[in-house]
Amino acid sequence: MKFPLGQEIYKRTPVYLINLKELISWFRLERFNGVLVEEVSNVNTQVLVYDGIIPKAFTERNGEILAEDSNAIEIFVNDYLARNGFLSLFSYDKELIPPLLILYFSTPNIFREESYLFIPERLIEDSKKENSISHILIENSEDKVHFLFYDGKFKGYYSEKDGIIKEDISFLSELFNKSDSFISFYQISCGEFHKLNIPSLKFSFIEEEITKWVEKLLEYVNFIMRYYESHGMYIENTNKILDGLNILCSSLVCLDNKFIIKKEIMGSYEEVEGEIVEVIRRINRELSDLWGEKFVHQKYIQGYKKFIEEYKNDKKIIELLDEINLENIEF
Amino acid sequence: MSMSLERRISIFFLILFMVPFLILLSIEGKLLKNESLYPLFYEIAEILSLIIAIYYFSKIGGVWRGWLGWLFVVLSLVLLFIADFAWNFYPLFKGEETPFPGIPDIFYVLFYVFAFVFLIYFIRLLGLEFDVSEKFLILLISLLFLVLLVQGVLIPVLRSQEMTILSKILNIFYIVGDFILIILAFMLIVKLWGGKVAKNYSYFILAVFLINIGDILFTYIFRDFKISNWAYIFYLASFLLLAYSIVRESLLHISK
Repeated sequence: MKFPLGQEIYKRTPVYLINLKELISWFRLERFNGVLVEEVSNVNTQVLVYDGIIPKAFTERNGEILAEDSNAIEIFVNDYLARNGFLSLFSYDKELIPPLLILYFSTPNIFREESYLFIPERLIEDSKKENSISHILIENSEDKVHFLFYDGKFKGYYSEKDGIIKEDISFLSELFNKSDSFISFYQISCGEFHKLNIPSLKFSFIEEEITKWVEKLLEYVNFIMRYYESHGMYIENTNKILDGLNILCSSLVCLDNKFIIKKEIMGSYEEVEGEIVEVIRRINRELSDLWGEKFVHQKYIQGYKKFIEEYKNDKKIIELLDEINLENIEF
Repeated sequence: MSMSLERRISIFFLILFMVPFLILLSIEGKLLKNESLYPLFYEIAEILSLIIAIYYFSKIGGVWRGWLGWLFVVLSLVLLFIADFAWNFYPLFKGEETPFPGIPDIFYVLFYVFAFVFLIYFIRLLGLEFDVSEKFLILLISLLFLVLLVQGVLIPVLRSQEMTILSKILNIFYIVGDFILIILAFMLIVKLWGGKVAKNYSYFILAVFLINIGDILFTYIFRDFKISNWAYIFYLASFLLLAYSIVRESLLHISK
């Protein structure tokens, strides 16, 4: 295992029982920290999740790396779509991940030197410096063992053979004494870590889809806004429509009475759907205050019907509207 | 807590109405001898309310499509002001009765045209569609008014021996005009009931009602009018209500 296993949330669950879209959205929303593992026969893909984003992923077969990052995610997604294999999810203490990441995104202080050249106690002492993040990697022909330190605190070690996190630091000295051991040492300050350019890998089809999906729904919302406007009804202060919404408040912006996506949607389908419905409700409530509920309701239904008529060939949006039941929205 | 702007404006409008009204009462009660005080304060009240209405209306952004509609109300109010000023000009500056029909009537007629355009503009802009019960209600009210109009006003005016043809036409025009404006505004109120905008239309409709009462009083009761005619207090109230409806509508659309 390239990454440690952490605390088990679920283990070896058939992929078809997991809604990956919701899971990824949930990672984003909860700023999840952990690892998602997909196993298909003897191939496994490990996806590291840090603060809701995906900085690193590997596909391995018996310890041999077959693919990395986007390619690994592609393998993951293809197997998921083929309803093949099993998924396991483990969560981490957030502080465990920065020492894992510096292995991939920083330059080593020591790189694959024979271990007998170094004094393990001095390395530990160095790693326990406050405000520093350190990673000691000891490898031999059979295994690789990672020792992780965050802000001078020892967070545990794990071996790539089993991935289990252990806390006995004296094991480091034991490893040093083995004849064929090589050591790598990575260390950076906490401040430098935040400056690292850590990528956010995408679950292409899923994340593009949620954005496209929101775009489609916004097409409807904007159509209704335009319809209202063409009948002399408009909202003076559109910014307050998004106020307090968990996801859309930070992802959307309203310019000239038109909602557009300003940044990546980080939310689950269910929540985004709920918030889109809430946006329409708020628009209608705001207008009802001025124009009366009965009239706004009549105009809303007229706008809805006009939209269906104009977009009748766009099956996707028609299905979406039907699914959310936007015709019968109450406000 | 400080008073809201809307409340302060409504109190100011109430004062604008009460001062000429109290002067009228004093003249009627023989407490005041100088009759021309009434048209003077009448004009002051009108001009102040007109300035306030234009000031707030000028603050609405022209982006709103309804802006054009309310511009017609502002213009109709300006015409009404010119008409009233021309009407009061005779007693104020010449100390004599205003001739009827006369120059003020040109502006009164134009007032009706603009007010009519305003209502039609909004009915078309909003694309009003009525259900059966609403249609029934509008029809019922229209018929009721029509019967009262024909019975109470049109027939007596047509039969009148004293009126010239032109004054007959004008009297009928004013009263039929009131009737049309009331029905059109009523259509808007029925549809927009419950919203703040509907309240502004109800001020509009109330204003037209008061003009209507004034017209009936003028046509029937006070034909032998004096300078301080009771019919005028209804005209003043309707002018202030029209200005007030413009202010309220503007406040709804001014960016906070």
